[in-house]
Amino acid sequence: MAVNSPTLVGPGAPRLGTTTTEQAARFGIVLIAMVIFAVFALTSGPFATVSNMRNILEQVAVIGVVSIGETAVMLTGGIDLSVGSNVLLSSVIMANLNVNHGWPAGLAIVVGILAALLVGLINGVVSTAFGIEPIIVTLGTLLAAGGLGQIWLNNSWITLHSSVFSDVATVMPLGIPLMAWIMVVLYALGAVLLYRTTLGRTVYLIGGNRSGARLAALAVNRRLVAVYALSGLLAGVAGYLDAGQLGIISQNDGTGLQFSAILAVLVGGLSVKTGGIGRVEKTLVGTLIAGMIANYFVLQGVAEPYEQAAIGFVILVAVLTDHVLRRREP
Amino acid sequence: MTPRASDLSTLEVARPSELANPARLSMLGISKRFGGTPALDNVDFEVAAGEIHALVGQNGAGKSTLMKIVAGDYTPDSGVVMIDGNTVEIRNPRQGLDAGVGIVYQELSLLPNMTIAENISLGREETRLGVVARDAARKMAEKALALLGIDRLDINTRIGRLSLAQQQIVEIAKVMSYGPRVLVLDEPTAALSLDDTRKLFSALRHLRESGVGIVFVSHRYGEVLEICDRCTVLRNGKVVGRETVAGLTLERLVELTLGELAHRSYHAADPARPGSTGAKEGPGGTPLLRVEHLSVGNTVVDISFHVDRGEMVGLCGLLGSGQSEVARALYGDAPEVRGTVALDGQVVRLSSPRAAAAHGIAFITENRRDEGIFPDLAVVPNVTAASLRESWLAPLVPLLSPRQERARSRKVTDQVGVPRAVEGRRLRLLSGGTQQKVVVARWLAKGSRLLVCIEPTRGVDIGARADIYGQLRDLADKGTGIVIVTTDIEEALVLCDRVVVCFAGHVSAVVDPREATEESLFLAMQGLGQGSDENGR
Repeated sequence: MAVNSPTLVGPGAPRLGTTTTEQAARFGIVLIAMVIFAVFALTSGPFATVSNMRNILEQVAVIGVVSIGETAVMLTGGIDLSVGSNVLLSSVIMANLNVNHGWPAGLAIVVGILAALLVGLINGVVSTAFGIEPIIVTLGTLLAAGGLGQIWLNNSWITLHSSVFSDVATVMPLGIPLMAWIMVVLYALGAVLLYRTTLGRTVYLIGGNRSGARLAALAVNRRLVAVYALSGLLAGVAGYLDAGQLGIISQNDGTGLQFSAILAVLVGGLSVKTGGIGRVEKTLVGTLIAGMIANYFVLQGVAEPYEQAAIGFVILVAVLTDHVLRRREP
Repeated sequence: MTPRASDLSTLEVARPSELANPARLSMLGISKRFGGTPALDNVDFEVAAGEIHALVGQNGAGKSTLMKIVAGDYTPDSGVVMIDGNTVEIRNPRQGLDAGVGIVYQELSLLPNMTIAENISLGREETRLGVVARDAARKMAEKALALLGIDRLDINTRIGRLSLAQQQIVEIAKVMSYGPRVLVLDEPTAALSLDDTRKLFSALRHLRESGVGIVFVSHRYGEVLEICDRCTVLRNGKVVGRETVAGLTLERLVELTLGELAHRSYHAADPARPGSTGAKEGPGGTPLLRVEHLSVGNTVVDISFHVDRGEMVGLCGLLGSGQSEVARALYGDAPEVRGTVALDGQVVRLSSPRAAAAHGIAFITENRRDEGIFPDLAVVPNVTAASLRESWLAPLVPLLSPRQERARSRKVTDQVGVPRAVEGRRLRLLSGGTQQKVVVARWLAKGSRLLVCIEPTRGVDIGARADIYGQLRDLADKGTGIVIVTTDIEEALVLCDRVVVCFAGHVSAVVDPREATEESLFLAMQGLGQGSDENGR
């Protein structure tokens, strides 16, 4: 390979890849998404319609927003399992304050999001200050936040009435649901954060070599706390979108969402083995792939267990393809 | 005695009479070239039964190549290896073990969460009905430890609870349990305290009685004279001495090691050398860095020294003498640090690398791969990692400007000689020399009062080495104080304005490179310095 061929991973890569393998590695997941789209469009009449595209965007928004935070966390070499419960907790708090305590919707939403941020802060502080593996800490907060959410739901459900909630699904600037816009804007902000800020760069440095980051005099622990807090904050925003989309908060909301988010990140090609390699826009593609598959199987009237098995299968194929494309990189 | 062993009589060196034991290991006429460079040139090496035989020489003399041939890591270009008089061909470490060669490396291979018995029998567990037979493992462990004269160690103790010396002994027992004819110990005392060394030696003396031939590879000549029976000295891939240790002096050993280099001094003939021109004291005679009564755990005991502005001070010592710990302590990266550190006369608390960097201290690790570089990031983010804030779009706009970042990176990479063509490449794909230049560039980009580096040219090719020396010199000339930890005598004498020599956690001498010879520094590193202690003690 020519000496001056730049690489494509991480920030600081000045130009796009120049060789076919680099192009393939960079755009592999996008190609896979396009192939999936084409196959689905050809085999299902209603799949490639405008209204169905709108559906898919609405359906992926919650997972998509959560996956931004998960991307940042996993780039540092950590993991955040608590996001599913955190979505439930924040939406329960919002609904509870708004419906049962008569708080204005806006304020209730802010408090709900702050609660999710707090859970994220706890994840960050406990894992860094005591050096406990994030998988353990966030498993703990997964159970704790989920439990709290269910306690406050009191074995029941809460129906929302305020339009501040429902607007996210019903208002459609340019024909696209507001929640999809929010997701896209957050991805753009996430990209700016990861590629253009000190925090984002530190995420890559920590993931790439944590001891190295420490010896480069970076505030490793403080940055990690910020990243987990960010993941919590985004789970709170996702809780708002989830509440607005469903209109009813019940105890199954958010269940298992952490796995969908982690899957989206992994399908997007983030490296778990070495950390510090991955890009947030690829997570968006990963989210869309999972969303298209789920949508397609609903359209085809496939029963849910089949759908689940098929999603798993397609994801394995996607990840393998990406892996094979990448392996040819030097 | 086998007839083959009579070949040994053709050697020029007389066999000492009291070691008329059969040869366990004979290596005859061993040569090995790497590319065009001969690493070993017709080397004869012989270890008798029941002796401890030292193999000494400077870095690059050929010791490790020779031992890698015994281990089966390398195949010699020519020559014969014999164990107990039988020619053997060792192609890989497993064959080495089968042929009767046991090797104990510096890096121990024990599993900390398993017991002594489990570790020793690891991979060879006898099973009864699919269950590990514990008593068989116990017998194996006890037998092996008995060879070393160890009977008070509970073999059900987990390795993690043992002292380093005990772990070393278990490692030796583990190797001995394979019944080797020859045992190679590679710098076995480098990580041990004096006390632990005593314990290890008493085990080795015991082991010697079993008739195994022991090869003791070491830089510590005091220990060689204490524990070994004979000694083979390598220099530039050739055997330059085969001596009986009884009657051998340390001076003679150093002379053999260094040869004509012994009296080489680097600066006497070169008064115009740029060195020390940059060295100046601050206002009121305050040095840039003053370290007083510094102790780190129990590896560094009460070390004091100073560094002036623009001065390059070497911290020199044999591996494990405490110099690396001093450097780490200066960068806030060592536990249990006591004593005071003052920068420009102000006492500072260096509680973390971040705190140290905030005081204007920079640090280059000896462990580049694990601590120095970000292997999957390109050159630019590697360079700017420690000074991200300076690539902000504007002083109060916390957004990185790629253009500014690249410009900042180029300014320093041009200076250290990293070609722009590779600036987008991942560090993983670059040579060790280029990687190290990137690390140097990172600290140039940040700017520091004091640069602390450990083995700055380890794993760096000769060309890059010269570049890095030049950079360090430049930095010093601009007034930065530099501390260089090195085990390389030549590096210390060529580069430094002053060399503080550590031995066993103390300062054993302070050497002026303009007056010192390799020999005098070498002796000081062995704890026999004639230079004066900085504090007049």
